[in-house]
Amino acid sequence: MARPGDSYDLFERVVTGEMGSLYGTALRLTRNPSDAEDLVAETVAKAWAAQNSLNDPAKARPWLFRIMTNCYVSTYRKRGTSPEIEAQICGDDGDEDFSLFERLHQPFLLWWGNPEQEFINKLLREDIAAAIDALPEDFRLVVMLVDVEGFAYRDAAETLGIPVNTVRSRLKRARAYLQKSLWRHASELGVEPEMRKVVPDR
Amino acid sequence: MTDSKKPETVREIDCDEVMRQLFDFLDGEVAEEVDHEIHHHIDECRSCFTRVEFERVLKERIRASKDEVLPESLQDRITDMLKQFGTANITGPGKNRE
Repeated sequence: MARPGDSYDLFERVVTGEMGSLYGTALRLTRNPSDAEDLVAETVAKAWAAQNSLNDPAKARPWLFRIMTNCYVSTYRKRGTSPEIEAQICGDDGDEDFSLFERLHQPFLLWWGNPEQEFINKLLREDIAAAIDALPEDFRLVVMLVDVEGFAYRDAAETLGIPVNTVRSRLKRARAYLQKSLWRHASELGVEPEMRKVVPDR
Repeated sequence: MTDSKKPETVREIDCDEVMRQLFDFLDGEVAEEVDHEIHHHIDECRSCFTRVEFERVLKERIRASKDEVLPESLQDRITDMLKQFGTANITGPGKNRE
């Protein structure tokens, strides 16, 4: 029989274990460290109030992230959008099929070098974080849950309250935008022209 | 007779099919059978292998971009909240108030 302290122990364990992930996701969602802290604290408070709705401890992650996503949508969504950056990434050309690989891959260089690998090697953590930050909100959410947190599509769907197929299609577009953003960023830093130099002059 | 015994028969799929399922495959969202088919294909197709490897490594880098370092202020805040919840939990609703 459950004792009075049991649910608290479970709650404490879940919250403490997920704190890093919650904060990391909150940081990308709010794009602001102070808002991220508030969002996590609000999530923990709401989760405590709703602890009876956690029926299956194995589902604690999606449960917590769902609470945080809902908090974010109701409180922070209005604040953080940056239409200018979003327009740059998902601009007029609406390049939903953008592929970094296709931009980088040069088959005739196969035996001289590997531009794709070079590109990835030069990416800093900050470059990726900036590219995620530049994504429109719906796309940022799926990228954070699936790519960063490693959620299965089903769990991401449950967390966001959308069908699995919507997760899949959003991810597809999100990844194209993310790769486009990384490409633009790299081009600005001169990573791309440098790789072109690999081509022999002869 | 020397019939080569295959431990399992894997359906042959083409490059287009691999590309169509590329991300589902990398995300571990394809059925076991499809997973085998794609592995079987990329073992023999350099072009698909290169593409799959690129996306796999990029995905790993995105995952590794995770920023989990908790600010001390947040850590303290959550510790205080948990203590408060713990007290409320033991004393029961209302009893922890003065």
